[in-house]
Amino acid sequence: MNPLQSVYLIARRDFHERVRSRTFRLATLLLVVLAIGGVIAAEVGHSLFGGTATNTVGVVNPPPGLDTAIAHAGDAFDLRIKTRVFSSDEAADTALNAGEVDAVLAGTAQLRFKTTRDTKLASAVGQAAAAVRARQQLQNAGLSDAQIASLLSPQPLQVTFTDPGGEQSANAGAAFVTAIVLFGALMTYNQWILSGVVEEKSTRIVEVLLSVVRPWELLTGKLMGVLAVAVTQMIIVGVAFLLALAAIGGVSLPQVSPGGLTVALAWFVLGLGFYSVAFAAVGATVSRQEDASAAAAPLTMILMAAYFVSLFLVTANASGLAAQVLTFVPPASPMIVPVRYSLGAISGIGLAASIIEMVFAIAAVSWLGGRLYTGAVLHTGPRLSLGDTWRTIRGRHTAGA
Amino acid sequence: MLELRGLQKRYGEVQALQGCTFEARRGRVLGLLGPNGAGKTTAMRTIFGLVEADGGSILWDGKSIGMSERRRFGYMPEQRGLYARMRIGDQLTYFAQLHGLPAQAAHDRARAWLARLGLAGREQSRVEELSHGNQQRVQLATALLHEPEMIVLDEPFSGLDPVAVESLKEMVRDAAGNGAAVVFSSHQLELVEDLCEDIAIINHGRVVKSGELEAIRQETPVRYVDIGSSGQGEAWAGAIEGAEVVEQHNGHLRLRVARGTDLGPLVAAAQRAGEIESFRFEPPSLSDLFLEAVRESE
Repeated sequence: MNPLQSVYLIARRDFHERVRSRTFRLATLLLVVLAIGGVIAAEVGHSLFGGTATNTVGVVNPPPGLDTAIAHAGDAFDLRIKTRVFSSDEAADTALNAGEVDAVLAGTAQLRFKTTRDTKLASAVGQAAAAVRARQQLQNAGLSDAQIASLLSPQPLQVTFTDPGGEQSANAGAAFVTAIVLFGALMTYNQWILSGVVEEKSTRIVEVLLSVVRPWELLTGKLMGVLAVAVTQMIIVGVAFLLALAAIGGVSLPQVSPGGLTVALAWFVLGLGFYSVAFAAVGATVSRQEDASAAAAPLTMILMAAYFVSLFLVTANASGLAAQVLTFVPPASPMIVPVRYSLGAISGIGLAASIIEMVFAIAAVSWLGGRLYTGAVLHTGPRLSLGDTWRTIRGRHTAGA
Repeated sequence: MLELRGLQKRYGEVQALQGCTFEARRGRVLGLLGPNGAGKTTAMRTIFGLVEADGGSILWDGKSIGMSERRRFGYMPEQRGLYARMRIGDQLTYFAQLHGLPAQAAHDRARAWLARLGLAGREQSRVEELSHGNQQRVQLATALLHEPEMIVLDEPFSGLDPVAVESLKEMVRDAAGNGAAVVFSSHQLELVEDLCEDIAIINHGRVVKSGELEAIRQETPVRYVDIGSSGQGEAWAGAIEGAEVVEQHNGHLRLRVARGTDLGPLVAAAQRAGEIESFRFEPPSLSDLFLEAVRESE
């Protein structure tokens, strides 16, 4: 049996056992509910608090093309406007007074509100009515449809910003979400690694395992298994989220670009690669599940520090000195780089450089963490400090009495 | 044949193994005995590369042991555990595969072993749902189901009730009967006496006595006399030359005498003290041998 087969067997066991566990199913279900619920909540919240509410305009004797013209004008004003056709002014006014429609457009000349004038709606409908009137007059003047179309549909304006900082705010939501999801994912899956390693050590299963596989095979297999579970869970939740978006509309949610998503996923894998070996090494130093979180506390703190810096400092000033420096500090970069990317604050070269640096950092951590894991996982008795473990490795003593 | 030759291992101030040497042969069961902290577990762990010895060598059939040999070994550590929430069928299959069995063979073997353990139809049970004795049996099965050539069991019988002990003993005997070399450690000396052909007594990291149990017993220059009698006290025994009182309880007197002692005067003296109800003359029990060997090596 070659090492790859051992790694595969170990990874497969970890994957199967976790995916089949009730904890995994409940957690995944909860995340799916949260994702769908989030889309619904964002949509409901937006329409409640003055976002893209749907307005209904009653029309009487509408000229052809009025409803599409109104919908188009609505888009320009960030409004969603539907039209409802009435046979008479009286019927339309009854509906207006009953609150069934927000305004009534009689012909193309008169717009009636019940009590107050909605300026935005009035402007949008006014523009649409004007466009329809213009089209009629141009038709009467004998112009062809193509000529009318070219007259009425000029090239859209190109919009630029003199202060690009202003444009960032549009992406701030995406950056925020990226930071939160990355942090949650890194915390969760590293905890799995930690408890998995401690389970094997505390029950001495590790002794049976290491009598037939090498420590690095066991460690690699466990990491691969958890990574596979993580990706599976993310795909399930991601698909649910996208389906909810598609079903409900969700124009009001932060726009997550495919690029941003790819970068975030790549950095999630890099971050997990970096931290998981460290968590495994720390897990190997304890013999009881109760001691695990205390042993992992320093790592958890580093991760949390990176998270808060990312959430508050980097989202506020993505091009600041702190953000630029932390991009190249490996324990922080998984939380920093994707956020800077989604804010458009990192160049392609900067992104590539940070990824290359991270790969080297992972190699270094794997080397060190792998040795610490090997040195500590067979040690029995009281908890080892990492210093003790290191000295043990250097002294070529691999286990306790 | 498994050979441990002159193993050395030091942990800081503690010399855990100092020249530990013994051998275990195919088709036979060897009991590794010794007081707590004598180095039994360390010796066993060196066989599996879990402890790196500072010196000495370990050979299987005359060759040094690598990962491919270890896959053909079976090991059950002292404070054993299984994955508590994993289904026992999956667990057995998993360990069989890690020992190199192809997937289908591993699966079939797991089913066969569960049937043998009286757990047929419980493949889907989790380890934590089994009784302590059944957990132990499943644990032993993980060490045996790939039909290893050499099996090391560290304290396999501790904490088990007599029924579970019997069932485990049978599994161990069968494994040896199928040609495996079996090494196990235990403090339950009657059990060892019952199960082992060979023994190795270890103290302070050194093997102080080893070989075939029956031969060791016969070669020992002392014999034991056990007399059940209505007579009170041990005073009469003191008059017999060369006899030493080892134990006295419930009207039984246990004496140590030299091999070849003339029993006539001893029996006569006992009869004078009271009516003899039982009389046994025997080579040392394993317990006698053990205590003596440990005492001598202190």
